[in-house]
Amino acid sequence: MMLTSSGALVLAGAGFATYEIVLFREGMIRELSVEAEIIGRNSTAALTYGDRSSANEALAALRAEPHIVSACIYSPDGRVFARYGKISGFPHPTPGDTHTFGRDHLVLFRQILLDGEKIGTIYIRSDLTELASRLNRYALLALAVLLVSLFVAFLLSSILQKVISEPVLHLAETARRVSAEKNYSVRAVQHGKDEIAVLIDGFNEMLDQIQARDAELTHRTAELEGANKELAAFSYSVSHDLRAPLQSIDGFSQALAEDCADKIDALGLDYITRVRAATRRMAELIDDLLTLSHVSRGERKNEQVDLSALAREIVAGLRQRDPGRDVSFVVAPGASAKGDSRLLRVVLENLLANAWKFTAKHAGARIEFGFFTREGKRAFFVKDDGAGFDMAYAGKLFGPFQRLHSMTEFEGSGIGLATVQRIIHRHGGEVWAEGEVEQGATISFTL
Amino acid sequence: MSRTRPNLGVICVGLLLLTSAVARAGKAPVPSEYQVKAAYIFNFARFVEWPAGSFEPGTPITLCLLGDDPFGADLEQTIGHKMVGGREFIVRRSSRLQELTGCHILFIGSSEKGRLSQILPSLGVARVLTVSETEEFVERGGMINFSLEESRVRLEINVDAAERAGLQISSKLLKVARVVRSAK
Repeated sequence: MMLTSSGALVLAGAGFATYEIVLFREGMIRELSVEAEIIGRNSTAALTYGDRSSANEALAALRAEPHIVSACIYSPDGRVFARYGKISGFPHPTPGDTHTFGRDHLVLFRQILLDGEKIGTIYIRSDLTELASRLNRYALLALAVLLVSLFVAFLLSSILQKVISEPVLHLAETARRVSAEKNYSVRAVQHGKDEIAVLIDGFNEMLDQIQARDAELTHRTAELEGANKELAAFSYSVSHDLRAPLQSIDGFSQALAEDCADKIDALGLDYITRVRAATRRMAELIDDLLTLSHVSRGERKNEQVDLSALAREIVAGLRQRDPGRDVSFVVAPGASAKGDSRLLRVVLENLLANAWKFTAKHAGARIEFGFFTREGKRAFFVKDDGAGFDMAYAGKLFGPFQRLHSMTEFEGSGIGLATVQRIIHRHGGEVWAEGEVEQGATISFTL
Repeated sequence: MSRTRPNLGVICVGLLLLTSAVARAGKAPVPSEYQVKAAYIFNFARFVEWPAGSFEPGTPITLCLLGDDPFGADLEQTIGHKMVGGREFIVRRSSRLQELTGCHILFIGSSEKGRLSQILPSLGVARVLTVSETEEFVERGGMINFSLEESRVRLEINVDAAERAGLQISSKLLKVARVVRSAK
């Protein structure tokens, strides 16, 4: 603030000084012209009658002006007729009325006329000391004014500082504290009754709201976490508890088939087979649910996982289980990411198993696992050219127990993709699917 | 510039005032005494004020020469058709005062020296500027006299005489002259 006001004052001062100088110079010329005129008139007779001493006397009147260094009167032929002053050399006279400013002098030529006829020229030379002294005085004055104004400005700004800047700075500091410490109980100190006070009130109100929201948020989060925990625990215990009777059913069915085979007819055995198949399916379902709950409950490790190796392992396992199938696997090497190896294995198992399953209907299937870059982030995908799906139902794909194909087409519990999604989300990533009916599907995810 | 004393060399300063305005091939390099005096007389008209009514509008200034004419052609040559205050000069010569009427400037030749005591009073308070080149002219009541000092033409002026005739002589002219006050 001080700098701008100083700058403005200096500029103003310079402007006025320049104006003063210009005015003063014009004044000098005028004064000198008048003096030249007067002396010229007084010297007409001296010039006419060749009276040098009279002309010298007329010039001597210039003694009254201490700034006039020298002067002379020329006869019409340009020769010096009378002189005044310490300087002995005089320049050749100019034909008309002229004035010239030199570095340290002002020189004036004026014609001397008698009855309209030019009878001589007068020359006056003045020094510029008065101009210089004026400039000096002006500069001193300007400096004094500048200093006083600066002092006053300084005082004023100190006062304004208290009234305006301080509260604002305090507000800024408070805001900074709130962000840095995440402490929403801090409030800005109120100050006076002006607009700044209104600002501070608004700020504090805002903090009130933030604090309330924050409390609510914490509360909600706690609730949600609790609910989640309960849910996970529930599904865990349920699946566990469901298993036991299932074991029973399966076991006794098997026993029935083996031990009482001679007492049961083919139809009965058929029924028993079906029962057992159903229980097996249910067991799978329960296993998937268990996995899902594991995923929600357990810790998430963070290590570098070689996804390519993992994929190859899983693929090998799939081939082993179903050696008859003609499927070509393409696994891109060097796919690695940070995450929980156990959970990521589950993801790949589910995705590759799905691809395996949905390409079962046609020979020469191709399943691919690879990665690409999307928006600067690494994304992995599992792609198959199997049954695919209608993109219109893409939203339902990841919902638990959602199945886009009937049981007769493809078996499955419908939990696989839900599990995948949950794991990916736990890793802070995204998962999405693209597909076309009978053309195949691509499931991609980031971590 | 130091004072030099050639034969009338310094006087050319004053004369060149007039000759420079007159376009003449071959100006006179060194003016003669009477050329200078003629120029001086001409310029008196610029430094002397005649009382109101002395001039009809547009009338010329009448310069009269009484007695022997020492100027000759120099007078007309020097003055020519130059004007003072928009008025031209006409020159009249005579040896008898009675014939010279309506003069504004009267030059009394040195030949009339002996008759000054009659001539001057007879002019009375006529509005005539009397000029001469006679010794003691101004002491005896004449107004302007030419004297030669070191080859320079000098002026002697009797202010009272001029005042009595109603003529106002500019102080500028008085400054370059030796001013004398009348005994009367």
